[in-house]
Amino acid sequence: MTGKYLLFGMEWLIFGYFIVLYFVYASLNVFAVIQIRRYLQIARTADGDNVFSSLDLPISVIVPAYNESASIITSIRAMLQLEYPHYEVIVVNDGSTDDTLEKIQREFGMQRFPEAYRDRIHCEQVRGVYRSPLYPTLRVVDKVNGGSKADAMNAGINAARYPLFCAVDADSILQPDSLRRAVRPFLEDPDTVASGGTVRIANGCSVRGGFLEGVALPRNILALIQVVEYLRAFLYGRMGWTQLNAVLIISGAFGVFAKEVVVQAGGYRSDALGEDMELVVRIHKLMRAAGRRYRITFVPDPICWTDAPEDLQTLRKQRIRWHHGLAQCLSIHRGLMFDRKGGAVSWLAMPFYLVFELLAPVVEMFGYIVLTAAALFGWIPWQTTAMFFCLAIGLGLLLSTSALVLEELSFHVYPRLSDLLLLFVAALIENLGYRQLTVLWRLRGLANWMRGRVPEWGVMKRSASLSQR
Amino acid sequence: MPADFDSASQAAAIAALAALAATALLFLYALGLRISHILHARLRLRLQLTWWPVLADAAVSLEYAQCATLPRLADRHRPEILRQWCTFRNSVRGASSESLNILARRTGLLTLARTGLDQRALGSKLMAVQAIGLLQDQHSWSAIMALLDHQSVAMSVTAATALVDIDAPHAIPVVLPFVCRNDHWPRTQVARFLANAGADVVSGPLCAAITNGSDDVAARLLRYSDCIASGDLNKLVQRLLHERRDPNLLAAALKAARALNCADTVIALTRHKVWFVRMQAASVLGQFGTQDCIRALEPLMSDPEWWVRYRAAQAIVALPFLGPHALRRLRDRQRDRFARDMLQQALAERGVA
Repeated sequence: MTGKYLLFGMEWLIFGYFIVLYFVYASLNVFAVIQIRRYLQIARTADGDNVFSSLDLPISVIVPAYNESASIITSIRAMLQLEYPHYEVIVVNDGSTDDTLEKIQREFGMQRFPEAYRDRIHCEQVRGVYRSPLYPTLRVVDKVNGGSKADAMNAGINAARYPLFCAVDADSILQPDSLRRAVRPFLEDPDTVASGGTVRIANGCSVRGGFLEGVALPRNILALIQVVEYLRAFLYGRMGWTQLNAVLIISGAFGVFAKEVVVQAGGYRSDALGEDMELVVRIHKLMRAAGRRYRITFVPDPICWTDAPEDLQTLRKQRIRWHHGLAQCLSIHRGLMFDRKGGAVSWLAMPFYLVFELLAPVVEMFGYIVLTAAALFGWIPWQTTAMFFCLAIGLGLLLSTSALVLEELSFHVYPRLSDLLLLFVAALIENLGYRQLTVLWRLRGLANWMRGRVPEWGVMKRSASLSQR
Repeated sequence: MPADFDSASQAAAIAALAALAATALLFLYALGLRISHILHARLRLRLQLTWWPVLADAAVSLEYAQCATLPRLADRHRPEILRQWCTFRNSVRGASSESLNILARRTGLLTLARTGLDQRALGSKLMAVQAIGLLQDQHSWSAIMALLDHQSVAMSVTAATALVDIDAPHAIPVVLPFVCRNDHWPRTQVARFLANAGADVVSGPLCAAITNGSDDVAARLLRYSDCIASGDLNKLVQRLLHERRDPNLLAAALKAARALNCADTVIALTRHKVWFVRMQAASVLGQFGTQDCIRALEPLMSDPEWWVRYRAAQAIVALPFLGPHALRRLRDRQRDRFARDMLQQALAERGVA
């Protein structure tokens, strides 16, 4: 009898978890709607912000590159054409074993330059700095491989000249006005120390000269489902947290930071798997401990496009790594959880990430196993198990559809009516197999972290649209 | 089996059904939004095809703006035309602006904009304020002035811009105290409306605000030094360098300086305890170009702060009377490795390494 009551308790626990999870997301959704509506109302009337360009803050765009021989030239060319009055591009060749450096040297006429390099943040040894007489805003820092993107970023920060730096992945596709949009929060609020951009999936889009030419949905089903995932994560995940000044992640694919704040925080942590999240959480910690006014914000415009994995193997490795990184970051900064001075970060965002992100796959898998076993052994009727599965699918679908509504309220990037229908179908399919797979992978990531395993990186296979950019 | 098992599965069933029903409703809403967006885009294009040639003709011909027969315009399309008019109007200057304003009055856009001031929706209100400014509508002056204190930064700055557009000489004394008070007003937009007002209107009141303001306010206002006449600016900067002690203000004053004639004061500031004051002083010393400056700049190349060394080296390399040979000699006689490296970098940047 006790066992059955225990089972009954578990049922209500799982039910309660799903309901609370939904209400937290629904609240984030409301915050995101408020934030996006306000942003759009102002953006639609703001004009000519670039007229008085001498007051724009200069930016160092830092591009870490490791074995990026195939795409680096196009990426650099695109970055040199960004619409921004005052910026430099620093490519950090992180000890590539292919011909990345040689290609850059050849293409841009780079020459070794006697730079008085400053080692403000620790990183592996810098072998040399190159400058181009043809492109004075481009520099290449050649360094010994540090085994992480974080190490390359730190070398780039050391070489950066300007008060703001923008971290960009070498394979990120930017909009020509990406920098201008991402810098706006710094101009509008002097307390801003970091701003992230909304990242979208580039698979299926047409790309020319490193810039996005046409937007379309991917044909690959895995990439299509990831479009819905990204909409959810960025449109109401991060926009919602922006309203509370509790954004914990600024994607490594595109983010602008106040350099001095990052230097004070000690730069990127080389041993962190999710170095982007770890840095942002550390900045929160630093600023809150010092009692300084600050703002970490998010720009809802789609300003960076990235390639999503189209095969299960690459996707599996990516998700295992992401969850491992999340566990590591929350563990490193566990002291920030429920910290007296921590505000919304300590009392809302960190607990949210712990309970509804890190432990979500545990609860979900636990639910699947317990309810299926209970039905198999005849402890509960099959209808109960079926109802719980329906609930999980229904809430998942509801959250994805909310993201589609937000997309329609804001940018409606995918132009055709059929795109909306296709995204809805993808949201449905996501809950029937894909989501369960990701639960397994995330559990694996969690287990790897608990066992202290070093994750596999693997090689990202480019989608067809991007491989010919 | 406990009877409550049924209650758990019932609750799950109800929640699942509610979630599916809400999903269906949300999806229909998204579909509706998409269809409305497509229809609106078509309407916008149609109106644009009809009205942009009219706006273009009006921009080049005052007579056309005053007398031409205009296409029919339904009331429900007026807000969209107001938006398009604002975009068009913002892209022209001079006589074209006047013609476009006449056209806007003929099409009832001014009345629409005045009505828009009473709207609650921020977007429509912002558009109305912007249009009233561009139309230079004196009647709405007090209504817009009341918006300077609006809780939305976008609204208060747009109101300030509109006041300057309506009557710059009267607006600047009204708006400047708000610029002093609100350090979160976007500096690009403030700079833009100050530039629109013109240096002749802004220079005097801005100099007075800097002189009478606190160190913090003065340092912030110096960002807009482009709007101050050269003669006034030099006097102001020299006064600030002599009278004030705040490092942020001193650095801002040095940064704003264009053609100073107080080398001794600047040389003294190269020994300031705060590095960014030394850095700005090094940059300014390059403008004087005297032998005294080299004597002041040389020790700065061994400064503990990288930026001070860099600016000092840049200033030395830019001095007109030092040729490549003299610069190389100067580099070679540096005993400090940091100074030598920095001068080497500055020389390489100039292509004389």
